[in-house]
Amino acid sequence: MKKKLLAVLSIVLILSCTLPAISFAATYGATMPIDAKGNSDTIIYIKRPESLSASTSDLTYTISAVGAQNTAIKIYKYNPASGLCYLIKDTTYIGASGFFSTVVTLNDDNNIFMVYAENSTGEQITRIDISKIRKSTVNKLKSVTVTMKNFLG
Amino acid sequence: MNKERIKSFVLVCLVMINFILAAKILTDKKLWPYGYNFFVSLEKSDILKVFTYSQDKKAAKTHIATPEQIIVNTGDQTSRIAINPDNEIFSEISLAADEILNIALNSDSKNIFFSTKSEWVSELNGRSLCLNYDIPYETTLFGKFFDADASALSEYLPSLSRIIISENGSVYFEDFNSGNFYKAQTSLNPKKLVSIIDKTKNMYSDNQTIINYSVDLKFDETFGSQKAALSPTVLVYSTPVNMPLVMAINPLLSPNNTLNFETIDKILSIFDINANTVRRYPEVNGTMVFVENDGILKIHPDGVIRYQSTDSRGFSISSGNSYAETLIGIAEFAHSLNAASSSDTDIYLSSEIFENSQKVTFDYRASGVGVEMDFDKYKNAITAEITSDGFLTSYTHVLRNYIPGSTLLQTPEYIKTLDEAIEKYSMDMNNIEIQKIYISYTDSGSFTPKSAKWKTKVKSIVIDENE
Repeated sequence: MKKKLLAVLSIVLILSCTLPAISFAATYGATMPIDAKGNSDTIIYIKRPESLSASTSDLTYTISAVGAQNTAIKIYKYNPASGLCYLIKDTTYIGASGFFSTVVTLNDDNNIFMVYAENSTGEQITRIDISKIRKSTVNKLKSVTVTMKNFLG
Repeated sequence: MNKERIKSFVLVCLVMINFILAAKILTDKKLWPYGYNFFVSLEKSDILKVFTYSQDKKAAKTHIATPEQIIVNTGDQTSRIAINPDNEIFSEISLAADEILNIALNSDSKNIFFSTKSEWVSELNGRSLCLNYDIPYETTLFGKFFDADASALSEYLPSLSRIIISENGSVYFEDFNSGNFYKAQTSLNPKKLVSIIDKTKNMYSDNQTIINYSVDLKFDETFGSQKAALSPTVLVYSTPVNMPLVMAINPLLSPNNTLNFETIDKILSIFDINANTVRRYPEVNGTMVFVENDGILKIHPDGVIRYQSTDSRGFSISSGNSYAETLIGIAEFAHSLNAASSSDTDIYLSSEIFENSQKVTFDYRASGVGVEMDFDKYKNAITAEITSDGFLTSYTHVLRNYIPGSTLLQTPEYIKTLDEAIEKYSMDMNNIEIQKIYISYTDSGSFTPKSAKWKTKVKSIVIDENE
């Protein structure tokens, strides 16, 4: 009985020591699930788009961020057909400036990008949604005139 | 009878040859004798200058008030284009911009407004031209280069460094000191501008490099412990840029490495020195020294011309009616020395200019970007010291011709360059603002091929003594 108890305690001890290390070492390769989560949200700060979503009629979009030096960053793009995110930009390391920027190509309608950042303190996964709208739609919106009725009159 | 006809024919031929030879002597400067010469005097006369002045002024203005780069903002980041002076469409865009600038610079106070950041950022992201200049200009002086009275505008911004021309005809001027923008409303119908933006977009539709402004990427704001920020209008390139290797040539030397005396004679005439009568002697290092009553001219075999006046007045380069005219006179003078040495390399004004600045510098452009001189004690290609009434008291000119080769080299990655610059300064500084990141060549005096590199200019250096 004592031996069994000791064995269980040892396993629990080993697991509690190695689990953080295991979770820290859980990097993603060529694919990543859409619901992947990191263990930190302070490794990088996404500057563009600041609200983590944007709309544009352009063919490309520049994602920018800042973070500590030597932070590794990868970019994944969601493929609705397979339900997985695929690596589109391989590892780049943030330098002394702290700046990171990358240009992504947009498909029509919704584009979901996952920004994966990792350093010695942990890993962070940030989802960014970019909607591509047609230029004709943008032009129509620009030409809309809104008339406000004065209900207090 | 036949004999008479032959005689008449020969006589007519001789008379015609006489006229042809006389015309050749009158028009070909190489055949003009040295010393007093009626035609030399006529060439330099004020009467003839009236006809040639406007062309010279135009040519000189291109060296003084031309932007180093024009960014054509098309409304999309994908099609935004950076146009350098060597691009074929640069002149067309520049001319269209000049027309609008002439009106905007003449604006009355009632048509000048402070522009909020969101407004001018919106223009940068819309359809517009952004004119980036090498140096800041005193506003009133800048106006004179466009024949405009910019006194009202100068009350809002004494010196300007960047101009945005919107598709709707509004012109935004950046105050060099504060970074604020002021808008001058014009009523000009900018049809030409609209068509040029579209034309440029179509011409460069296969361009792969994405250009963003620092303000778009929010790199102009620091976050947390971040030390560095970029000025809002600094351009961020997504890919390296391909630039040709350039060869530097000393135009004073012939292909067999001997001094080209024909070039030297042309240089002497530009300094109004009579090659036949001037006192001359060689120095030990091969420098040729020419001594006139009012100055000494030295021409070094390594391509350096140095002039020093020996009287209090100096060498006249303009009528001295205004400082702007004096600057144009120097640009014209430098341009003529380059032309005399068969150098077609472009030059640009590289020193900050304020009314009555006594020292003026110019540098060369190769393949549309600047060449920074770092050759012995010469930090600029051309240095001139002038008086306010249009006299040159001292002049140094490193004669060079830069020939772009066919080999293209990629510059390093943009962000890597930024990282290196920050690393260099971060040891001693707590807050770093990068004012400018640009491509240029460096001429250290050697004649090996030169590659273009990214360079950074730091705006503010702040050391917090409490940390």
